[in-house]
Amino acid sequence: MAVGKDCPAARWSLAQRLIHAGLLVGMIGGWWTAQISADTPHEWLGWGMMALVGLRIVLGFGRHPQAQWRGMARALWRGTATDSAGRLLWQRRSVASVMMLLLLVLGTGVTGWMLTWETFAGDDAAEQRHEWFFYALLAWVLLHVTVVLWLSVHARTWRVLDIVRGGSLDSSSKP
Amino acid sequence: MRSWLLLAPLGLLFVNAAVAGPTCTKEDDRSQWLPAAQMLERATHEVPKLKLFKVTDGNCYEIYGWDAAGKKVEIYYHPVSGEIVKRGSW
Repeated sequence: MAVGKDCPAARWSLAQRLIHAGLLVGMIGGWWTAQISADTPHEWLGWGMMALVGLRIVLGFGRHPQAQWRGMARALWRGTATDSAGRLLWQRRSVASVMMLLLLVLGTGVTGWMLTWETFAGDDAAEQRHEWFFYALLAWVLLHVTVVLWLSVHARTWRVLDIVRGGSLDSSSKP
Repeated sequence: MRSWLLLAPLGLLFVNAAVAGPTCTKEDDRSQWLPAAQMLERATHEVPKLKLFKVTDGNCYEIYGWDAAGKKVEIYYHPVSGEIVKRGSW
């Protein structure tokens, strides 16, 4: 099956793009509020990111083919998944990467929340665990960005613009 | 482009994590610091129920506990002056 420029990707839904943007803003904000020790905004950003991940999980059971867990599972099993029009929904590696990103966001949030528990408050190991999850997330995000930029420029699929416009529906995904 | 180069960002995992919390002093000579026992005694006026007392990576005394109203409190103290540097909750 043709993928990439010969088989344009299906469009991201508006909700997916807003969640993506929200997670990006939350991650930068979370890092910044940690640097300046703004604890309350840091916690609210964490709760906001958890809500966005929860929303994304719910979207996976919705009707939009690009957001559905069904398509992602199919890609994990078969290597790729397409919608009814033959547009590419997912490839196995991209599903694995997105799952890792979601798990790392969840891990960062949960380990941050645990710092408010009596058992873990002030515990150095618990704080380091939260930081480890964040830096693992940051590393994976940089890997994700590198791959998307590489695909955009080298493979001429221009996936980086999907962040804003949601992907191409016509025969050419190049701007 | 060699695909293994894409793994370069994972090198960030080996970068030291940023210090969470304020930096009180860069003075490493702890002979100038208030004794921990003295600091702890002062801190218990504001935090009568203590959970944890420690020295942070930012060279502060830090206390976790509950105030007189039973609210969770976290306070950073300057180790030389004993002044409160930051107060919050946990």
